[in-house]
Formats: sequence, structure tokens, C-alpha cells
Amino acid sequence: MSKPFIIDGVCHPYNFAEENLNGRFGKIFNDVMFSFHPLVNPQGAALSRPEWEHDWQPAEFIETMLLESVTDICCVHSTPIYDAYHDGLVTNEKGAQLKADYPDRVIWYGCVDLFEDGRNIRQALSQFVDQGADGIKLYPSRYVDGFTESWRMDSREIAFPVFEFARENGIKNIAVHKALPIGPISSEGMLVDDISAAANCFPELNFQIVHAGFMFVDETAMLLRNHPNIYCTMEASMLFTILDPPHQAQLFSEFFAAGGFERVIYASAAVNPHPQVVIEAMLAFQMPEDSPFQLDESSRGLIMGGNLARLHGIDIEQRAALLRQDEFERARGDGLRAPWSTVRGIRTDD
Amino acid sequence: MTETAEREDAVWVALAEVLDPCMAAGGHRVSVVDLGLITRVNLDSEGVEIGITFTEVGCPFTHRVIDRIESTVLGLGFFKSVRVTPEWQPGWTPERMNKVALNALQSGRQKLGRHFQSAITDNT
Repeated sequence: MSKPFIIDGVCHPYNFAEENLNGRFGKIFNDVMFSFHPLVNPQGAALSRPEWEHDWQPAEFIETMLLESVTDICCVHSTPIYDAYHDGLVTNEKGAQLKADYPDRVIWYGCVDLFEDGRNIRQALSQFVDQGADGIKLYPSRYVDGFTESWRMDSREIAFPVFEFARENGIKNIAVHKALPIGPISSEGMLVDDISAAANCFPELNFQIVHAGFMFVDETAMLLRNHPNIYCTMEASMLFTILDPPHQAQLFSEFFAAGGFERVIYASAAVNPHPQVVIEAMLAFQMPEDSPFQLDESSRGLIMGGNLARLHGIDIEQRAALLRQDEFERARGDGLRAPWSTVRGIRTDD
Repeated sequence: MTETAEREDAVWVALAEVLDPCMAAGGHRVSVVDLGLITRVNLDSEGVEIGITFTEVGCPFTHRVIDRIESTVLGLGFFKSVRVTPEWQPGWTPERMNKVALNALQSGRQKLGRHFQSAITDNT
């Protein structure tokens, strides 16, 4: 089986450093994220807690992604999780720098915090459009002093101005964190029903449900059936290929039946899992023999890169030819680096 | 009974008040202790560390349950720090449930059975 062109649909240069934690919620977030780390990493190669509590810098992130795995393009999502992390966990600055330094290897979704006032939001959006953002990442809930606040994707006052801005500025992809509560928040903001009106009113935009599959699977499938511009970006939910393969098969069945292979997007959630581990799990993953949705070279290729390439107007053959000549491809000539060797100190400059 | 043992007991009593959100959504008063989610309680001079597992890896309520446990145990006023550590291996199995949880599940199944039976009867 030849390797498909792989676009990792969501990966992050996280800042898990202890000094970045914002109170008890930040500590809970780190504890839970780290608890998964050994389960989704090469046996014996997982990072220790002190190694893991790290502020990932753009260069070490990109070398980990591209020299320790066969990922071709990273879709980097910045995150505005200020209720748990002082810097939001993945800053726009890191995303912008990655996009500027590696434009052919990086797709970048800038984040905007819609709990800010409108003027700040507009400023943030304008700034990351100028910096080359390819998409917008949104978080519909936050936790403040024991209360949860949420906004909805069908809000004409809060969300629609962002979509109008995207439309006016040539941004076609909106990714929204759904289906997986972050922190001790209530689940309203995680519901997916509000995406329907957004998808209806903005048919020229694509809406990606990030973490699709953790909750509201029926509702998500219904959205796929009804809206050609809604996609399941399975960040973290794709780790069931490793953690619970029968469950992964069930999720795939629901989403493939509702939207075909064209509406599911591979995402590793690296660099908490090691990117190569998730790639290998997905390449090896098979649907049950009696399933009508068998994964072959074509369908796997769509999920692992083809779909996101289409959403971003990337011609895979042309891009692959371009990438064959770049520094990463040359460095890969000697084989992949050992897992986590980059963050442990091996760098291109050495 | 030593002070440490008393405090450990108090922690277990407090944990028995933390309800599992999914069971609660089904109308059952089943705690994280009843479900067998708590793997250990360790006290030291600074505080308490509580090990927890979940019925499935990737449970969407992981953060929420941990938060409730921390708040509840901190509320006892004994500890400077409460740390709840998720432990995924060896993993939860139904054998970890106590009678309260088993009975709740059993009654839920019976209720569902009656519901479907009456739905079948109504349609025939």
C-alpha cells in the first residue's frame, strides 16, 4: 500500500509549561492530557512529565511533525483557551510564524475569542488575515469563576459577523470546537445543532466540527446529511483507532453513511500523541469485514489529506512535487528521526 | 482510629456524594464510588491524591468529574491540595461496580424493556 498524501487536520505547538497554567482548571487540563500521553505514543518512548510540560517552539514542532513522521502538511490550529492557560495554549503568534516560515508545509487556522468585545475581535481577525491565516478556529464555551458561558454558531450578533468577515476576506474554512467539553463546563456549547443555521446562511464557507464523534453522533450525522459544507474533523476522536478500534469503526460507519468518505478529516492532535503513531494506526485501520464502508487507498487518501486539500484548494500532485525538493524531504532521505528525539535535543542545525 | 484513617474515611464518604453525570442523566443516583471509578486514595502530609478511571477512554465528562471531586474533597477542609489523577490502565470493567450501580443499571434495563414492550404492543 502506498502512502497517501497526508495532511494532519489538527496539530498544535502546545504550551503545557507549568507557568502557563491558569489556576485549577489549567492543572486539571494538563493532568488529563498527560494521562493520555503514554497510551498514544510508541511503547517505551513516551515523554516523562517534566519533558512533556513544555512550551513547544515552532521550529521543534515542525521538525517533530515532518522529520519524525511521514506527515506532508500540518494544519496548525491556534487556540483561545484562556480559562485554562494564560496564553490560550497555542498562540496565534506561533501559528503565524509557522505559516510564514513554512508556507508550503503549513495550513494555519488563527483563533479568535468571541467572548472579547467586537472591536478586539475585528482587530484580531484583520491581523491574522494579514499574517496569512487559512482558516478560523473558534471555541464556543469558557469557564469563569464557577460559571460556564457559551455562544452559539447561529448567533447573528456574535458568530455571523465572523463568518461575514471570513467571506469578505477570502477565508473559506471555519473550525469550531464541539462535542468534547473542555474543563468543568456544561455541555450546551458542545451541542452541534447550531451549526445548521450557520451552514445554511453561509453556503460558501466550510464548517468543520472539531472533535466530532465524542458526543452527539446522531446529530452530527444528521448535519452531514443535510449540509454539504459541514465536515467531521476527528481530532482526538481518531485516537480510537488506537484506544478502541470497534468504537472507531462505529463512528466511521455513522459518518461515512451520512456523508461519504469526503466529509471526514484525519487529525492526530499531535504533539500530545506522537504523529507517526496515529498515522500508522490509521493506515492499518480496517473496517469490519461486513461493513459496506471498506477503507481502500482512495478512501484513506481522502480522509488523510485529500479532503482538507480540496477545502484549501491544494492540488496534491503539484504540492507533492514541490515538497519533494524541500529541506524536510531531503532530511527524511536518511529515514525518520526517532520519536521525540527532536524535543529531546536533536535538531537540523546540530 | 488515627487522624489519617479518619480523613481517608471522610474522603471516601465525600466521594460517594459525587454522582456520575451519565447515570444521573438516566435518573439514577449512582456515585463515582458505586461505579468503581475510584482506583485509590493516598494521603500525605500535604494533601490527598485520588486515582480515577472512567468507563471509557476519552469520556467527555472527564474534566467535569475531576473538577467535582476536587471541589468536594477540598470542601472537607482537611487538605491543602487535592490531586485527581486519571489512570486508564488496566481500565474499567463492569466488575468494578457495587450493588447500588448494578441495581440502578438493572432497573434501567427493565424500564427500557417495559417501554419497548408497550411500544410493540401499541403498534400491533
